[in-house]
Amino acid sequence: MLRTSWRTAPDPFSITADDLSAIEPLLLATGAGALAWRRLRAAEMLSNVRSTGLKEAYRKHSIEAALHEINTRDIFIRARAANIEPVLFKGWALARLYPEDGLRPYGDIDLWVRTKDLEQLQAALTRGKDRSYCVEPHASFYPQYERSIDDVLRRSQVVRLNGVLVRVPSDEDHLRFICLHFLYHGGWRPLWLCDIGMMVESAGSRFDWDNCLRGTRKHADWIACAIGLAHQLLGAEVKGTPIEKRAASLPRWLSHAILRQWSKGSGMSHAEDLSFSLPRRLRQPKQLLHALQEHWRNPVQASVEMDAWFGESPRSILQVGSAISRLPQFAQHLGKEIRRG
Amino acid sequence: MFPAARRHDLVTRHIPGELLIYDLTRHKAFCLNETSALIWKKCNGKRSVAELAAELQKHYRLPVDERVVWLALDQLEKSRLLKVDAGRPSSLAQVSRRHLIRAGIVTAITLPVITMIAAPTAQAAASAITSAVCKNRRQSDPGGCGGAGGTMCSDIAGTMCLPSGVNKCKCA
Repeated sequence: MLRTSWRTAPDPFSITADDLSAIEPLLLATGAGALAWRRLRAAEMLSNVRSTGLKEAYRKHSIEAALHEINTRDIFIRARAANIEPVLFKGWALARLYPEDGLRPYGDIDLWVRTKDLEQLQAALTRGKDRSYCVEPHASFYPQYERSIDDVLRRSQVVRLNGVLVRVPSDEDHLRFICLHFLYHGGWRPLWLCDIGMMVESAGSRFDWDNCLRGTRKHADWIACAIGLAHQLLGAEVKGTPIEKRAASLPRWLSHAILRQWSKGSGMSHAEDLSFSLPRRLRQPKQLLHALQEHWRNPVQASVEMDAWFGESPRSILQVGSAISRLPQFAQHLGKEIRRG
Repeated sequence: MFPAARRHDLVTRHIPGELLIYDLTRHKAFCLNETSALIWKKCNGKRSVAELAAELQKHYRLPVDERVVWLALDQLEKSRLLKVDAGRPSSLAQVSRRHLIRAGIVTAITLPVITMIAAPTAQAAASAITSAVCKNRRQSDPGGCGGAGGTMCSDIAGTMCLPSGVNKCKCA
């Protein structure tokens, strides 16, 4: 359904009305409803759509896009007035590369800033604010990103948004980040893999693959595997890139783990981490069992948490390791829960 | 008799065959089909209902009954998308789609339709977490602390989970 959905002309396909009805809730729950709607429209298969959910998602994201652009513009004006130069990533920085507005959902506005600028940025964004928006300033990255904020700023680019220059990461830094983000979250949203496929295909001849993959070999291989997944599962074109060979020989467990996660239609949100929610459920055995199943890391997330190679070896040992590594945090919270009575 | 569209505090976006409007003051989003969008755009406070019908006629190259325009104006007014309403004469009854169809005014053009879209505001999109969860977050975590104006701390009223010091978060 989402195969090549990010392209100006997605690959032709067909789907029955029954199959579409079966997957529609998953598409909507994972934020891919608008992309699916566009693919159906391109394939002239809108007659197979029984509900209005997918189109409504497209309308909603289109309006969100308009609001997001106004807010992003406002944020950059305010930040610059306070002598801060943030870097916008994900959200509009990615959506602008799609052929239409409204193909992906918009959430918080993610910014990278230097640590020393964090407090000043918050003050600048809160002062005299006449509209409501959610900003997430970040001053550090995943350890596996292996780049500093200064590196990212030095290589960043500016793009015009309604008369304001918005700073976004270089395509190389951005692709590396969204690959890690996808893996960190166990790849639960197919939309994130569409983002990866879209970025890989929009990489022109000036795209510096060395820059994107630079770092330890293991983490470069993670990036290659994420892009390889976009190729295997969604048809992203990788011919002529350094990823081509790896994309054809991904570990067998990898795509299986992702497809299994997608079939659930949800992922674990950070705020509902096992360490935090489990103590509260201890008094309800049924919920406890469900919580344990729910919070068992999928093979991708466990591999990332245990900083392991994406090899052919079984992932179960890493999944157990991941659960054990979070035990101290869990015990700490359990203690607090018990003391609270 | 010269309706004027409201233009202030509205965000608009075109998608194929529709116009989306977000009302920044009421945080409501509307979807206008082609006919209602055309009428809304032409409402400049200088055109009468008859002239608006003529504009529709010109666009579709088909005869258009004035009651079609009244139907659109009624919906625009209800959605508060008009600054100056059309000043309906008391002799003229409210028009509904059903009335038009029953009266045989089923035209070749699409009847005007305005629907509401469930568009979340930034505040509605913000989630809530507990102070314990906030304290255990790191700025480098996926999602970070929640950010300025972002995630609310549910157990400490009026506070947000915000970055604090180097790579730490707290409710403040």
